Amino acid sequence: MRRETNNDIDLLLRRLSRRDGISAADGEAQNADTHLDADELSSYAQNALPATARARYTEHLAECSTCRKLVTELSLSLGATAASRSVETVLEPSGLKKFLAALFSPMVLRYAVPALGVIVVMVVGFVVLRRQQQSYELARVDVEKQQRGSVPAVPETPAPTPASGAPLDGFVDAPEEKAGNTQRPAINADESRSASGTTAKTDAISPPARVASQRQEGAAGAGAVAVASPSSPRAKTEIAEAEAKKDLEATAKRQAEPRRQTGDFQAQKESANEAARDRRTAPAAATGSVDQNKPKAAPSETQALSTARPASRGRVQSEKDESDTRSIAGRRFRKERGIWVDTAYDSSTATVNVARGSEQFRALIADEPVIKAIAEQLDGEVIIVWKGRAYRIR
Amino acid sequence: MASRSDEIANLIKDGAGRLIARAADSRSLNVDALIPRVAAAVEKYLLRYDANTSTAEINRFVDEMQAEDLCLIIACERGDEKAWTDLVERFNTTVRSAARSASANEDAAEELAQSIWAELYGLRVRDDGRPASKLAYYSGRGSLAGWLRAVVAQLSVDAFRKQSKLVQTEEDADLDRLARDARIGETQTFAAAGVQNPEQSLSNQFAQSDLQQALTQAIRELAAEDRLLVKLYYFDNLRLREAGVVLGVHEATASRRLTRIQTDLRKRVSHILVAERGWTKAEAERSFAEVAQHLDTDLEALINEKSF
Repeated sequence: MRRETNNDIDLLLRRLSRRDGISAADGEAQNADTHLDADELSSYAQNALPATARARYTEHLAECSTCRKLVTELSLSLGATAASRSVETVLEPSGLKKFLAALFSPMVLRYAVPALGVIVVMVVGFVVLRRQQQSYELARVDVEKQQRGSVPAVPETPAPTPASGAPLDGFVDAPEEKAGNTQRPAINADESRSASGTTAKTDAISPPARVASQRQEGAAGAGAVAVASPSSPRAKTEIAEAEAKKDLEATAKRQAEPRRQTGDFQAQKESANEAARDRRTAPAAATGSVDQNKPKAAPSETQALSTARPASRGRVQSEKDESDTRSIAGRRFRKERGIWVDTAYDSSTATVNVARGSEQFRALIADEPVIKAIAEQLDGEVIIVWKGRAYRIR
Repeated sequence: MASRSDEIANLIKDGAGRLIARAADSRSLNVDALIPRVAAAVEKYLLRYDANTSTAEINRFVDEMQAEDLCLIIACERGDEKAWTDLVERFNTTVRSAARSASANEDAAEELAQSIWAELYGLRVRDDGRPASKLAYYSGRGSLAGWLRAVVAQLSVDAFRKQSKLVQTEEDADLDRLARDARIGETQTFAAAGVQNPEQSLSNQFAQSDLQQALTQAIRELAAEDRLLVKLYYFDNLRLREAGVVLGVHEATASRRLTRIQTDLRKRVSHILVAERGWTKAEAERSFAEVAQHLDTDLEALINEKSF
């Protein structure tokens, strides 16, 4: 019904327009003075008029076909779009859509996306580094736990007893301290048990099968070396641990000292080497040490060494069987009795034994690329001093 | 009263200052150069219709003025040659385009464009000896490009009227003849349609007349915007989209508004017929239907008449 009624009125209006449109033009010229000027016409066409003025001009345009025609032409040529002033306009986008449109506008994406990418990369990098640090810390904690809980290891090669005059060569795994003992057992040398029954030092990490290095040759009262006793590894471990702790403290102080005893050390080493060459023997170490020589130090030599020990306590005395020296990653290594030793190594330094290919080793080289580089370039056994700790890699 | 005018003067002065600050190129103009133009615009579009326009309204009005274009026009009025050069450079294309739209051919368009620039420059001299430049009529409310188009359109209409008074073209003659025939045809509608009853014919004529008068009255009573829409759509034969552009609304809005207007008109016409002309409601309804039917008959009659 509404459509029909609208059709009726629509037809009526069209008829009226045909009749009135022609007659209306005749009266237009009489109203020329009241026509809108160019400024009013253009302002109306551009919707640039205040509401009151626009309403008045609308009234005129509804009656004046001339002005209406001009406004129509101007509006269409200026491409005026629908005003937003009417509440009946087409639905505007909602606030959320406007927000999303503004958020994903090309200008925002142009700068925000790269900035976001940089932030993401930084966060990821920080997280990765943090995890690496944590894993390194965990590995270190594991190592310490193992040091405390594992069976104390006997050094691979027994150190010569002072009584037998076996030289103190090689290196010790962990510093030991016992009353009156100023000598250090050699890593690759035979170790002897002092007659006084001094306690042995142990390497908590080294396997306990280093029993063969024990040798007693009537150690002199002065500076008998200690040997790990396989019969009571746990007790030895506990003792060694206590001694290690003391040595760590001493090492911290000692590392601050300049290396002023180099001359003395060299002289002592040379004399020890001479004695060792004379009495070099080759008992096989159960643990497969690199250097099978287990020279026994002469008592005199031992005494000499032991007397020198207070002055150069902790210094490693080694018999150079090779004269190789390498510099890797800013560190200097000297090959002594088949072992690459960091020149910064001090026998009092807390030492960690790490076997190549072990989980420990993998964690260590993952955390410390420098150690990895050194281990790759130096074959065999290597002692690396890194961050206040010595790592003996076998 | 004095305080109100002082208040308005201060508002205009402040507004002129903000306007100059907004302009990217103020053309070395100061606030005093803009005050008369701003004041004239405020008077023309605001205070003339409502003397008590609020301060906020005046400030908003001034802040919406086209600062850049207004400074350019004022600088041109002051004889700034560089400003004139910029004006021609920027808007010559606009003027030519508008002239081409309003002219029949390229020569006429070129002539119209030249006359526009002459009018803008003020080659005509007023009675008081001052150049009559149309630049003075630009208020700065709309864009300068739109104003120039309006100037071109007005001048082209004036030129056409002058020309049409001198010479009646064949097209005009045909138009007049058709208009005359249409008016005659309305009175002979029923005769052409073959209605034999003269009494009925006369009755129908009166009914038609009442109906159309009621419709004219109802249109006159519409709101200005509704009336303008009816005129644009029915009398100017614009499409709804074009009518919407003129009114500043979307086509859908214009369509909904037109439907509402048609319904309102029908109700109003029925009311006028019943209340003022003494018709019954049924007669009014029947009349609508008959008129629609007769409208088709009119067209057929006109066509038949022409063919003979």
